[in-house]
Amino acid sequence: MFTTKQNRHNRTQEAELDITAFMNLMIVLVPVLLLGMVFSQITVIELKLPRSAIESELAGHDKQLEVILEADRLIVNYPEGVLLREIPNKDGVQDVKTLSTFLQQVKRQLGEKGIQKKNISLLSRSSTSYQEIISVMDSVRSYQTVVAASVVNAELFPEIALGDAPSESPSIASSNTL
Amino acid sequence: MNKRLRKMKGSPTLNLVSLMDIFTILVFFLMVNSSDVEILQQNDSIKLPESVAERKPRENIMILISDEEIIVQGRKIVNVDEISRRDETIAALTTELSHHASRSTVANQDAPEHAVTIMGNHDIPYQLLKQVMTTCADANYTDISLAVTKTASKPSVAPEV
Repeated sequence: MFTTKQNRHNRTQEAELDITAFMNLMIVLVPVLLLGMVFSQITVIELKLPRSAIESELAGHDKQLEVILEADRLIVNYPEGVLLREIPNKDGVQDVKTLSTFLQQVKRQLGEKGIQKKNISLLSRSSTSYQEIISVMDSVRSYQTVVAASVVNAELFPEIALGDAPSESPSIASSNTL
Repeated sequence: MNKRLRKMKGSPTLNLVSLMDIFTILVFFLMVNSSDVEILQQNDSIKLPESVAERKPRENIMILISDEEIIVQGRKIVNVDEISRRDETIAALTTELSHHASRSTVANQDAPEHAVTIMGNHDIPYQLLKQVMTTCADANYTDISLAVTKTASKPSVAPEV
């Protein structure tokens, strides 16, 4: 096989793999996978509606914590219609940070009284936009806190009910809770 | 010197080792990333609201609410302008949902409870959302998922005690 000394020398020095096929595969695979890559991830917020009117009647008996989404402010009521706090909008957007902080206090105070509350009603005007509702939902569901040097989502009021905001007077309870 | 010259005149070879390394790493990275199958298709006509929710979407009936129309499973149901603001429910959507309900899940007839995913444009009014959700509730679709775009969550500090 080895005819000359030089040829033998080359053989030993530069033993090479034929990687052409492998490279072809890679060059095809990389763009295919890149195209299929998900850049914006879609997640969901789960919402459980009461199955019947009876169920919603039963749920409505205990004192209900309410957040009313007004155009210019957020109103926190507990129990229904009794004002706890108004949170005006900051720079034209809802101040969800203050809302979250305030609800954490509410949760703690309720806990001290021995009330384990998980449900909350979001009452919106018919013109309230979807994004506003979702932002408020985010802040009432959970908050982030640091436990043992790691960030965790602490539960706040994860059982959310949606409803219509009462017309003008805050004493009228919501009529159409979903 | 003589030896090197001879070598250069012979077949020149590219050093592809680093390229192969990169490709191999890239392929594995992309394969791992694309392993979770995208259930919900992105649609150009709507922009989903942003949220920090982390739950993965499930495979179920999808209602898409854009500014102009309501689409169920890729089939256009009704124009948004045609929906009366006074109506509690949307008749066309009720028909479509009950049609889907009758066709699917013969197995669990005992629990007539179906799941639905709502993909709504971020600026649709609550009025419309309520109508859609009431319609879903009426058609026994009580398990509602609201699709959102995931954003990075900003950690907020715990309140001072």
